[in-house]
Amino acid sequence: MSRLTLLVILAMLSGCVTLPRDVARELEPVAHDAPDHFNKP
Amino acid sequence: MSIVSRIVVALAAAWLGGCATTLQPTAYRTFDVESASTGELNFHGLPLQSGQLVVSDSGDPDSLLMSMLGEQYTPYGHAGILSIEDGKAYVYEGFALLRPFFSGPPTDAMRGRIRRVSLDQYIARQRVTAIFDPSADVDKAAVAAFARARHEDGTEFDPYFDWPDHERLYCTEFAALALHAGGRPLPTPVFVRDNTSLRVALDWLKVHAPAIVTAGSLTEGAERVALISRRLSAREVQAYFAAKQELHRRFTADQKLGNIWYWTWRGLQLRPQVKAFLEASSLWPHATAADLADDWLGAFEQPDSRWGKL
Repeated sequence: MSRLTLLVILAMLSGCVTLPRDVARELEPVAHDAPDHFNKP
Repeated sequence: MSIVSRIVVALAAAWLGGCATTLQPTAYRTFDVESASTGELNFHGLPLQSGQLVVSDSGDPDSLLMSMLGEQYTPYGHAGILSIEDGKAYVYEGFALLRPFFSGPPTDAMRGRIRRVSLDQYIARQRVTAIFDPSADVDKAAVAAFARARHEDGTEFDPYFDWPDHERLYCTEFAALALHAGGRPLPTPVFVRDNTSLRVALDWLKVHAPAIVTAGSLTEGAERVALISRRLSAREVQAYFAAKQELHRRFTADQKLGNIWYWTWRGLQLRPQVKAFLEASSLWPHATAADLADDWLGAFEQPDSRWGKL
């Protein structure tokens, strides 16, 4: 585990890192990004 | 021992553990010398010289983000400068750690400086490392001297990627200025992609730079003298980079970050399909990356698709 990961985890555990709603929305897959859509057409 | 003391001891052990790396070339699938020239130091068979450029890809999700950020694809997301001191190889690099924070974006909580690590340590945390010899007209001694000077004067890391302001430096900015100190012209920064989803994230991170210096722009005109990877053969490195390039090609202006990454309490993660695609890509010839992407990620030829086949 890298030091950066360790520190990020510590930050997360302390409830510090939450994404703003608009950023969180961009990190959600689009509607047609369901698993089936990754299969070969 | 109190809980606090135990945490401190555990952190110290993890920290020191990262420093106690000893490189063993036999443990690497690729440890290739790609130059006939002799170096200042023979590093497990690699001819190394002060002032050479070290670039790398860690394979982490945020490293892929660095490769996707610019309009031009770059296989490497990080850069540093090599320096031979007392018979040992070191890398000077811009590096920051994320401190615990209570509000604002993580970039506000990043603290770092130009630091020096042994080449062993540097390589150990990368998926792929390459060492480049700058063109013959570059004074490598001056490059290394610049790197050492920025370390000694405690130059801070720039988490906002602000190229015009050289008071604080990000990794590739630091390497570009070091090479410039040796006579290499400054690279033309690469425009950040015009992608709405990316812009939302960058605005939150307070990264407002219109363009960034990429590791790829630093390797232009330079000769690769070494390629190193623990997990991948040289051919697999080529295929892996081709797969990343295919992702870059597909991440067009209408793409959402969520098609590649997602967020958990552990931070940024690759979507399983993307991770599988990158893993599988190394098994195939690099020329098949586009077809392989169709297999793993789908073609999405419907008009409203965000993964439209180009």
